Amino acid sequence: MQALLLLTLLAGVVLTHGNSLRGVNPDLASHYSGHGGTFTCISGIPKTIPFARVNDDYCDCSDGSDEPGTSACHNGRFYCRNLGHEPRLLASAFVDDGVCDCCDGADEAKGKCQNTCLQAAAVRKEALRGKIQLHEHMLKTKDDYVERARAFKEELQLKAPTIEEDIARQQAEVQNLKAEVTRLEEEEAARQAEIAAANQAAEEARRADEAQQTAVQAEDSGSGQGEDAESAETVDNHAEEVQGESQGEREETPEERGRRIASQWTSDPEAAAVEGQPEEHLNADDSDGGDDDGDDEGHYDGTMDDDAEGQFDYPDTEAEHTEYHSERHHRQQRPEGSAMAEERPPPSEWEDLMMFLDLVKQWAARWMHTFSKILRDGIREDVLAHRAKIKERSRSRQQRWESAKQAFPQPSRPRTAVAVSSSPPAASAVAAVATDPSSPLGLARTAAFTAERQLQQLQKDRENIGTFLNRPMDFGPDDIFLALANKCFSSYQTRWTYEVCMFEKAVQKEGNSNAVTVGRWYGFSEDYKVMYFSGGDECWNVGPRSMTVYLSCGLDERLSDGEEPSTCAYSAKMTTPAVCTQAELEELQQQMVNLEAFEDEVRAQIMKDEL
Amino acid sequence: SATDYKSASPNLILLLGFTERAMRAAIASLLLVVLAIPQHAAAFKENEFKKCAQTSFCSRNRNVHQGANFDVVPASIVLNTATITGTLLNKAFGKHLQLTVTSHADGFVRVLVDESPSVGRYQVPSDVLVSGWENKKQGFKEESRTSAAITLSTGETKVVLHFQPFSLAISVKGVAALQINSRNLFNFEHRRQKQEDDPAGYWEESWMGHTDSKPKGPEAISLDLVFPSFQHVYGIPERATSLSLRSTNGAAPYGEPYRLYNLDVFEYLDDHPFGLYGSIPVMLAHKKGLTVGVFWLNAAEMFVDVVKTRSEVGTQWIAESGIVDLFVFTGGSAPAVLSSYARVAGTTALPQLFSLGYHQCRWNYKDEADVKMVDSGFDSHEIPYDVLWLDIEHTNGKRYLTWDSSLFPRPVEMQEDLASRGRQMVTIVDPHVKRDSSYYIFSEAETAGHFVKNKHGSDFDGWCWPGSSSYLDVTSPVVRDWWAQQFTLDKYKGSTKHLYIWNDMNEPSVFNGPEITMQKDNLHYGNVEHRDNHNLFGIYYHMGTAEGLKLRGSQVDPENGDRPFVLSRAFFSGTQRVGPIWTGDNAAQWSHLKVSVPMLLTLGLTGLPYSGADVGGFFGNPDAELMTRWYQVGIYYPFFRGHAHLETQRREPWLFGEDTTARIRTAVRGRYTLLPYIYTLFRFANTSGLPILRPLWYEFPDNEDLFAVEEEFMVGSAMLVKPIVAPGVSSVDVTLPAGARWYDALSGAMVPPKTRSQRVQVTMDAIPVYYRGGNIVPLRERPRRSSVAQAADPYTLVVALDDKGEASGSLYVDDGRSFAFQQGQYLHRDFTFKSLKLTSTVRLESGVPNGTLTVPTTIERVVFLGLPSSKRGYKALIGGKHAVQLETGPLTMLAPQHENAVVLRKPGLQVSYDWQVEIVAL
Repeated sequence: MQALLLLTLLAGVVLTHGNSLRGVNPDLASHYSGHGGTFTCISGIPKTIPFARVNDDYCDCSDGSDEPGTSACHNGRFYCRNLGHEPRLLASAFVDDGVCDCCDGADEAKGKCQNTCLQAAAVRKEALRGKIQLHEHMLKTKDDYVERARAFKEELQLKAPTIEEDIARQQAEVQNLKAEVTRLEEEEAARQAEIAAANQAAEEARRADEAQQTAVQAEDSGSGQGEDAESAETVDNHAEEVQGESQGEREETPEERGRRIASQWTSDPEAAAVEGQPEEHLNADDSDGGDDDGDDEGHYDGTMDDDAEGQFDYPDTEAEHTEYHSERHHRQQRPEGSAMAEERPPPSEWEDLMMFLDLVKQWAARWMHTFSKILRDGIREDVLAHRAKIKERSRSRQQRWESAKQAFPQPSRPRTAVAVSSSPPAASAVAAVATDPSSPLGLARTAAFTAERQLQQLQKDRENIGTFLNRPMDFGPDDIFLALANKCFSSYQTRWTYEVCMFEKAVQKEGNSNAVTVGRWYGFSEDYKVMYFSGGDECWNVGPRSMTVYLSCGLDERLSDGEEPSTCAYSAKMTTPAVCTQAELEELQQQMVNLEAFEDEVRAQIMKDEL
Repeated sequence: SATDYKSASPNLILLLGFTERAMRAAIASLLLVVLAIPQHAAAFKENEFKKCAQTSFCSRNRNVHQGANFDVVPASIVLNTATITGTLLNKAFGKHLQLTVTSHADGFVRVLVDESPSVGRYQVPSDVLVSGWENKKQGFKEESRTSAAITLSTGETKVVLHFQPFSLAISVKGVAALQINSRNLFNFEHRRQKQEDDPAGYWEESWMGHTDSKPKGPEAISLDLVFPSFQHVYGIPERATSLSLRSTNGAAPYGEPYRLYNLDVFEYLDDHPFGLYGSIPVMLAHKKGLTVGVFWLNAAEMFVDVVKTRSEVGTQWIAESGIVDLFVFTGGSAPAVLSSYARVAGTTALPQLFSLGYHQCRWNYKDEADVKMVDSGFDSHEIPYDVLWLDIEHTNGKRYLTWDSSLFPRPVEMQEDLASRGRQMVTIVDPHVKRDSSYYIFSEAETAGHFVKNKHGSDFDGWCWPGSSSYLDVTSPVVRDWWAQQFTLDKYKGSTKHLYIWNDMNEPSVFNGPEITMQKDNLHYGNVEHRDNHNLFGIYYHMGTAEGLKLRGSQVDPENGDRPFVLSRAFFSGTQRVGPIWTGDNAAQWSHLKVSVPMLLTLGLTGLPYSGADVGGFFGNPDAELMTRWYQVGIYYPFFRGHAHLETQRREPWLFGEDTTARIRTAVRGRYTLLPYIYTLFRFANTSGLPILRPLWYEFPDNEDLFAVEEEFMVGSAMLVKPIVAPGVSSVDVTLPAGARWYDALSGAMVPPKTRSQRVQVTMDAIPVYYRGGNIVPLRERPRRSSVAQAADPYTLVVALDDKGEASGSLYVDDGRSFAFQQGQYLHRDFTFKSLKLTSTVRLESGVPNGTLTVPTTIERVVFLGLPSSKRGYKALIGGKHAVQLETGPLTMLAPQHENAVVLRKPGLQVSYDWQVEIVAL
């Protein structure tokens, strides 16, 4: 009690009667003044009791307020001052129960617990330091956003005056190149036809030679290399089928029966998929993974799956492979079906922060890389050189292709003649053969492709100019949200996926079904903390759907908590560094100052207390 | 989903096995689509289990009248004080049987029938029962003897043995209690030589691809037991059916006899005569004025028919092998019958106090982080619990007694951390042993020859969770000894003294065996066929494991030891001495919540009160309402555990929203409040074999309206609980038996009894529970995080007065964990309230050493229910002088808003000493 008193003094709180009582929450101290020698229950059933009954280890008040410092009431709250760390309101049940819950040990008899508040404070301080760093980083990112937005806008402004002209020119260019491709393709087709005629003659001769050979051999020679495994299996199955026919109904083996019964207990629908994945067998340790699999996970393996898979056999004596590895491997692959349903309690603040800091590191690295690349490439330079470059590119197409070829040498693997292009059927034969990019046709195709890409880019620029330059739109202070132009963010809830596309629209999807547009871009709130999407798809009896997205300061853009609080009015939360503020950082910095200022005093006091 | 696979017809899957491989994947995916249609009724695969008609020994005896085939040879009768012997002649075969009837001092008569001369038929080993009763006999007095019968009496029991045909009639206090073979259904198939014209099924029997070679041929026994002028019989667990057993000559599924054959029944139905995981061949018959009990000590597969007529309940018991060893309990009342049965089969081991708290289980708590999160979830939601459980996934590839070191790298630290908050851990250990020579349990057991053998004499190889497995032959005391040694701290790596054990699959479950168990021609220790001792496998495995924990405890605390805690699924008579059982893999359905009550009541009536059903239901996902109601009932289960299947959604008590969390919190806190009362009830179960949960008729044996009531139950003699077992209930009919006073257990308000039931309003917050006047109930009201954290808390006494203004009760206290109580380190107080005086005196019981323990604990509140109103109130004179004014206050801190009770505040009474408090009206 004396210790608590001293600590209270130190904290500079005016000493009242109430503060000498164990477990009293300072916010409620006025109730415990003892004036008039009585105590009135703070809430619940109205009752006034003699003050001597406060903390007398008997529960008189229905709200538990008469016993802040004992375990007598079901619903009481014990206040731990936790000097040096954070105060805590503990359930009465945990008072004097033999477990140290408060870091200052006040919830147990004196001498029972060590004061661990300084350690806890150190952890907290570390966490705070992390938070500050994180916030500083986010503010820096925010500055980057402003710069990005400015550069984006400037680029569009530069491109705007000539965009139509540039597009027209590029369209003509594309047409020319395509005509060239068509011409070369026709040439090549003619050449191929000649070769094919020659080949057919040769083939007919060969067939005549082979006429005496067996049909099976003919079939085999006809199989492609890649189908070997499959054909082997077919033979196998055939054999089994024959055997099965000769024996009539085959009985289950004991193992099959065991597996079938085991499989009753779990669905494990993924088992088949997992086992079917080639990587399961890639590991040398796991070369007969089927066995290992069965050993470890008897009840996971549906017999059905095994049968469907049809490639496992289970020897009686098991060789000891690295089953353990296999099992873990399995675990990692098992979709977290049950885990998805889990609602784990939120991680502690500390864990959260650690995770956050990790993310910061990764993200920062990624962002710095991208950003410095942009700087290096020089956005402005790029913009200035834009028009010149278009010309330059078309002129030096040939040259560029040559250098690209050197940078990406051709694979030496011979290609099979499989048609995979979306070319018109007439040209497919040509397309199939003429994949050598260094041939004239190859070069022409590449040039046409590149020109088309450039055209698309120009068209996109035109669209962006239309959207972001020519419409009277608000992009926030310093146009900061332009940094997110053309970006979409999505969030998966248990059933619905929400997707928010900046300055465009918000949609909701269920599984693979069609998306419902729940709103089109409307604008920001005055403080830029909320984004509105309105006029979405019509909702029966309600009108058009709408969506509200609440923004908060965060490391990057993350959409979450998508829901439908009232019919067809949706909401979600999104983090972004764009709304982080200096004031928030200063608040954190002030907390640190307070913490540090108090530290030495607390340390001295705790040491004194322990003596 | 899980059920989809489960409802797959085996034929379809078999079919799949024959299909050309290239087609299989396609068919499998088609099947998945087909199976996506829920087929709940098909979950329990009735056709995977044998019916009487598909079982040779049952079909050839069921309802088969033997005529006057069995006669007693009058000249052979010899009466020797407490034992009468004679020869039974099987006239059709000219075979002799030896009949022995013995009168025992502990309230029972034992009837033995075996072949004469003996041919070595299997008898249940004596270690399944307790010893000491065999030689405590009570002499027979010969009342009369004629050429047709001999009449004997012993105490208030009369036995009449009729000679031609053989029958035996037993009456108690002049009331007919039991007739043996009054319908001539008795049969005793003697050992014989194989004949060419023997009927099919005598020497071999095939079923579902399994062939049972029957080297000893037919050796079944049919017992014809009639309970004259009774209408109700109870017992013969385990099955999901009514408390008062229905006739088995009715419509399906009640056209099948009740079966006693321990089996791992997948997704059992909630109303079916089929036998489940355990067997206790004990039946009680009750009528106004008399309760009688029978116990056929036989561990073979058994079928029991019940046929009720207006004048009697006739039962036919058919066992596949063994001998007749029938105990008839003649004490007259249910408590007397159960006490007598306990003299033979033993009483409930006094559990560790922690094990009466709440257990949180799931298949599976995945890793150490998961364990930590669940543990801290209980604290942050202020819900008490005592034990966290780990299912099979915690092991390294289902090698029990090992850990998956990637998931549980620091099991010792994990357990120590839980223990620092007064909590324990339980891991699962099953009897199948993975056939893996690098697994030490397997290699040691294989080398020592500890496994069950197949009919060829080599180690039996069956399939279970780990795949190919062998099974420890725990029927051998040598194997059990070896097994026990595996649990010492040095042997079981990663274990601590805070770790206890769960034995599952010990029917034994063999996935690829006949009916998911072992072949009957497998061979055990002493060359015993599995057919003879099947129902003992579970109890023996359970025993071996419990001995292991006992051994560990004796090393940790050589002076006082540590009471074992081992949960088992399979059981037999005597399991109560070993540890608790649970009702296996139930489902998250209202009907399963409902049937849990008669299931547990039945176990209580057959000597195995320490039992519970999985709260929430194992299969499937309960909604918030079912979860809430299940907890509200589950807190009264003697064994109180929440458990869930691997593929269910997480369902820790705080995952159903704040309202549900609050309700479950209140319910679980209610359990902890009741622990002193429940522990005291366990003490009575321990000393006298009395049940914890009791059907109403047990407490009100003369009220015939209550004989079949299973919708309500009593907890001890003092509390009546009305479970709510349907959704959306806002009012229920409650029967409060006449002849008692009842008080609402939350508000304290007196509720008048009515002859018929009365309508009671209910909310989601609680189910109706009542204190019965005449009882004093000890409570501990502080909602601690665990039972361990309650150790120093003061008590509350609820004094609920009867019509005479009287009440009595008791409180048992010991260290809650060790065997020191057996040396008298316990405190047992009797409280009585009479003539306005509340008195505490020491309770003395014969047969146990007197208690010598004192504790510094006090009584903080005495709550009086039913004191006559006094205008100016009451005062209490403590120790005759110190006067304290009685106040108005709540009956329970769980409902502080009701201030209906008269409360003695802080009387400062020491629980360890004698005292008296006199209540004086002002």
